[in-house]
Amino acid sequence: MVTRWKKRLSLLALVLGVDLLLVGLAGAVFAGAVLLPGGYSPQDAFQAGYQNTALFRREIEDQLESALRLARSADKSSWYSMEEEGSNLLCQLMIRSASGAWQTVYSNTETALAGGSPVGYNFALTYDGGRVSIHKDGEALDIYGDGVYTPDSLWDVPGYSNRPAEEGDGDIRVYLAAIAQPVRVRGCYSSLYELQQGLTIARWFYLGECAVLGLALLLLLLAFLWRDARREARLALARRTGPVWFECKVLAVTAPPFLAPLFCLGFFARAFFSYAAALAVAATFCLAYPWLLYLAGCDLRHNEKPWRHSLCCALAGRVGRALRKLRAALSAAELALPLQRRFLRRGLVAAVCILLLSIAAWFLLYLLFYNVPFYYFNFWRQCFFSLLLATALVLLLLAPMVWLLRRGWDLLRQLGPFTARLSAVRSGDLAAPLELPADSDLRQAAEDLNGIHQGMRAALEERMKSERMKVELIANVSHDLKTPLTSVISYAELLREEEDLPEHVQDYIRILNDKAQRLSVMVQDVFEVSKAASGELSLHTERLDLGKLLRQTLADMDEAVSQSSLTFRTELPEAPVWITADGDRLYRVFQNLVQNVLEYSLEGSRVYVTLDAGKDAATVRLKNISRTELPPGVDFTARFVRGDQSRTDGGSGLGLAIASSFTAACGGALRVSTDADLFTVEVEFPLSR
Amino acid sequence: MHETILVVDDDREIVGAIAILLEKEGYRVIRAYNGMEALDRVMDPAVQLLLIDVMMPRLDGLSAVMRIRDRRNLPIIVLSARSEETDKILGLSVGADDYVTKPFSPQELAARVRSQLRRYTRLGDVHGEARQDEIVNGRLVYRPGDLVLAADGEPVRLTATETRIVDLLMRNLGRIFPAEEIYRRVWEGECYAPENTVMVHIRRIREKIELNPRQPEYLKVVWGIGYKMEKKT
Repeated sequence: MVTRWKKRLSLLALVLGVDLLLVGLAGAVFAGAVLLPGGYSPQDAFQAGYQNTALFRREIEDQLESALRLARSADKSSWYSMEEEGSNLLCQLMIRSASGAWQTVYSNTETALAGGSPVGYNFALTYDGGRVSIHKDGEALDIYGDGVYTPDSLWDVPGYSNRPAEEGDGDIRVYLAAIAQPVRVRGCYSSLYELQQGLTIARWFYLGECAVLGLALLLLLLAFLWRDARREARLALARRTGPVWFECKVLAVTAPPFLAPLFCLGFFARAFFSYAAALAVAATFCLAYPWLLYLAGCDLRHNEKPWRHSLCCALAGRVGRALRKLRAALSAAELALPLQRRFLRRGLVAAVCILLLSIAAWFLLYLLFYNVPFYYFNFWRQCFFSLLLATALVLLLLAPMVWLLRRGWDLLRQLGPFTARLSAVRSGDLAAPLELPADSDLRQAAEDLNGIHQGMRAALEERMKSERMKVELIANVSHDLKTPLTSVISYAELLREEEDLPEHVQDYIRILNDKAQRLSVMVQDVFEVSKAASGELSLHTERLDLGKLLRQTLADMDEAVSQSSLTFRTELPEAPVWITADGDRLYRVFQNLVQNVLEYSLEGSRVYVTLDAGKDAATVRLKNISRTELPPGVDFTARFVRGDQSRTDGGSGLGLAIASSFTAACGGALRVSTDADLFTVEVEFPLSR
Repeated sequence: MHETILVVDDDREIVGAIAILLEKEGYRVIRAYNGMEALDRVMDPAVQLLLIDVMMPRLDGLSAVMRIRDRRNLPIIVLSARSEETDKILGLSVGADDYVTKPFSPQELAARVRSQLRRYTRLGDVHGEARQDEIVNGRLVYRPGDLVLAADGEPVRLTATETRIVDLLMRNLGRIFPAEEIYRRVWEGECYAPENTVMVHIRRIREKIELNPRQPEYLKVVWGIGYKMEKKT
């Protein structure tokens, strides 16, 4: 397990190692480009005294050369360089006059250097008689060697056999004395002091360089050893950078290369920063930027498609969603309009767009032609011709547009009546056929529609006629049945009242009476069912409480219910359940359903009557256990269907049919479902508001 | 009493059955078999009630009723096989006093005949003015002063509770009362499920005042709303 610290350290080692290496390389470049050409070689920098360096020798040689040039020249009024040197380098220049006496022409010290250097000055140069002699720390140095000057010679001064002193230099004496430890001279520039300072700095620089490079190598070695830990560190970094927007990353990677030079070199640097600050910015950039790239690399390598998580994507998604929502809202608002208005609006928008476009085109054309020199007309003519041409072209282009719009407009105008006609046909409205002009695009469609309508109307009329005939037939049949039935019932009743009849005859009469009554009921039921099925049932609908109606029905049939062996479990809400229906018909519905239950339920079983008021509809459920096995796949609401096909006693077989057709006539729906012996009737009505 | 009744129907057997039925009840019956015949016979001043079928040859029942109404003031009961509400309304609007659909129950027919005759003979004119202290509603007459309800002039025996219900409904003819309100005003208390209690009493009252308690004409249930006493002319 790699600890957190090791992960961090591995990363830190790499970062520091690389940065230090960069610093070291920069130092090496600096050394190669600045220090070495300047003479601050590592060899000189680590010399024990500054007087052992080549730079010092060059300085002394320059001073001597300057002194000699001064002595040779006519004007000896000033010698600034010596003055600047201050007390670090003492100098005396003497010339032998015509009389033979030595005369001091320049000195920056009170002491006569001919008699030896003052205390603290361990380096003494004497130029006398065209030769140079140097005493350092009281010992004379061998300057000329074998007396021939070569590029390898340490001192470049007059006096070599191949570089003799100039004519007349025998009359010049120069004494120079350099201090052992140069001090800072207030108010002027001391090259010896600077030299010594430079050497010190160079020494530290070289030491630092070595240290930096050594440390860098060490850290890089560590980083190499910890590369596995660093892999995990990279993953952790990638996790951290994952939530950052991709745009930020791109900006972070691309901006610094542009911004850093701007800060270092551009206007900002001159206006707001010192050059040191600019350098710091540059260094920071150089050291930090690779690590930005490294982070970006980690991100790209370890994060799945990092560009997916970007501000652009998020904004685009949001804007897209908003646009979709806006479009949906607009289209919904548009769809709320009738078809004709909808297309009218679209046509208007198109017309306005064409108008605007044509104006723009006209303007552009005008400008175009205005710049074409037709002839060398005058200004007004030029204007006039441009105008004319532009207008003519635009009108030419606009003409087919206007034609198209006109056709579209006509189509739209006819589309309204056409769709209205469609709706009318669908709802069975018997309106006059739609007549459209002969050149109309919808002419053929309208004719087809008229044909369809006529066919439908004919079919509808046929159906209504046949339905009417059916009802009439049934009405007539039931009337014709009722008349003899009246006689049957009346005479059967008279027979029943007859006394002194044998027992078995009385039985026959009772059967006659019962069957005659049932026949009477059946005839009436058949008549009503067929009327309800053909939609000719007269209804008196009103707002009523379905719960109360059920309670009343059950109370009304209480006698029959309590005489049966069944137990009724009712669950009716206390709050009124308002529906709109014909109360009398609905009573018949539930009366029939309860009778059905009483007739066909298993003895001693429970019957459940529930009413659920939902959000939009109220549902009454009657559940009972059938006494006999229920035949599967039978539509119990069909006329003359009974659960037990062989049963002959009681019921016209129309109970459920009456309930179903009356429910439908009142605007409700009756469903029958069976599950094994469980017989469920559901009556659903829409709630009235 | 021997009131004379004219029975008109093109079906001779039906006329015969009705005749036997009514003669058993003690009425004298005159028979006719079409509308024209009926017009002739009805002019006999002895005829005190007309029972007439609608669908008949020569002159149909309704036209006959219209013509008879011009000449005589007597109770008319229309017999018809048409059971539609519209047919009933049509029959009553041309001047019939009652409408009986075929097939009818003999007892009910007898009861209706009796009712019409009572109203006709006892009250003189059926459409006469009501007395000040009486509430007249068709066959029913209620005297709030002494809490007496009469059907066809005969006092109806009611229990105390039934009387209170009748009192409430007769004083508010045509108004629909929910069961809760009837319970509150009659029993003067609250009840959890008053529907059954009220319904039982309503049924009992119906047995006493309606000619056919299964098809009540006066004390009606307004399904899903409440109960009311139908307002009759």
